[in-house]
Amino acid sequence: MNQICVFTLIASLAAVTGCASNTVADVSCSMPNAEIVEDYVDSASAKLDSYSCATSFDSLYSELIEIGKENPSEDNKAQFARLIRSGIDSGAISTKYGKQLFNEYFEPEFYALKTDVRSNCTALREREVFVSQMEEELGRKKVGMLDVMGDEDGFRLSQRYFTDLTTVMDAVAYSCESSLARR
Amino acid sequence: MMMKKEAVPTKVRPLVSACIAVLLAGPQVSTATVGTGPAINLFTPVSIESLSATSKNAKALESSLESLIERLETQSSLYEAANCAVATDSGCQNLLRGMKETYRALLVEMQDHLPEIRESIEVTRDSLANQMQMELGRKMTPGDLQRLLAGRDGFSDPLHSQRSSTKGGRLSGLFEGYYKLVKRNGVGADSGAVLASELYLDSMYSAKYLDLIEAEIDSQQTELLLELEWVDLTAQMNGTVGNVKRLLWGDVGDREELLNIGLEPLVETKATFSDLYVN
Repeated sequence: MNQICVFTLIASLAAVTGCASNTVADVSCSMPNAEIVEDYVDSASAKLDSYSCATSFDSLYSELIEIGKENPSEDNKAQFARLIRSGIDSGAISTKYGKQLFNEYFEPEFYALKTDVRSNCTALREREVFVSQMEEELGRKKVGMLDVMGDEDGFRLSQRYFTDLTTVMDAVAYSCESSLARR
Repeated sequence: MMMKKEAVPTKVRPLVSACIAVLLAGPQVSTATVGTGPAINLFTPVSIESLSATSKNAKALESSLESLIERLETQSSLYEAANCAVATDSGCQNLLRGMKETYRALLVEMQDHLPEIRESIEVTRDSLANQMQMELGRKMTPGDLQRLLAGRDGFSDPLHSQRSSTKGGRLSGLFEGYYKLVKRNGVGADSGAVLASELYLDSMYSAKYLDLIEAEIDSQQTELLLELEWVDLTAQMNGTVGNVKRLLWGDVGDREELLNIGLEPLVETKATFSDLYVN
């Protein structure tokens, strides 16, 4: 009888502790309540240091974008970099993903082209895929550079790269195809 | 009987030779040797010579066709104004006969000039295809292309504003614009790559379009010889003249201006975000 009572007590305590733990995690991982980009990143970085909030990085990033759109400034780039570094340091995201986010949103050049090590004659057989990825990325650059940073020049530079790259990629792909056809 | 003409007209040869001599004597055109970046050589003397020839040939054709097309359009307007499609009086018959003669002269003129234009365009196209495939297709990755266009890793700074002058309405103007840009020393490697690409694509599409026009002209020559139905001929005639005009003088919107935004490269130092930046 005593054994049954001890078991029941332990089971009850475990259940209560578990529930309490989940509740605490939910509360600590809720979105930071800040309307200023810098304050939001301070708060979000602190939350990312908490192991149980690791999976909330994308939500934090999305919310920071919304706050950034309300407060466009070139300084926002540094704040996004700070959040991404926090995400990487805390293990919430991989270094590669962090770099991808940063480059897709805040750099004029296209991340989509940076990781392929094949020669153009091989890689550009899938140029439609590249162009499609670049189009999506241009949308992210619009958000990052134009909406969040207010950097019109930077975004126009991206547009120019897009136009030039698609022209050159088309021409190179055709030249490779014509070379194959002549063989 | 049509005589095959030389690719470069005699009167153009001294100019072309002089240009080639200058190019060979001076720094290689559109070769990037700045810094430690790889040298890119997209324009060869052959492609430059054919570029010049295309421009000259197209200009000659434009001049010879201008008066014929003008006359044909005047006759066509009179034909429509007199409602000759339904009327059969002698005035309309004379008008039709005149149109037929003008149109035949136009077809002959085009048959004489188009082969040499096509030949020079094809030389340009094939020469560029070889160089692009070798220099950009095999030696470079997509990332290298981007670095090249961005003027990084030892390549010169972007000079994109130069390219806007290549976009003229006329075929001769288009190729003349390219020729002037290409022969100008100091064109950066990046703009050289974009310029070569635009020229290659324009040459490719022009050659295809010329094939279509030549086939159309051949078939209409046959129809003229066979004295086929006038009404059909008039409709086809308008189509052919329209196509030739589009080829030679361009269409509004066909040759859309590229972004010419005159921006300086970003001066922001990458060092601040070097841990997040992907090269």
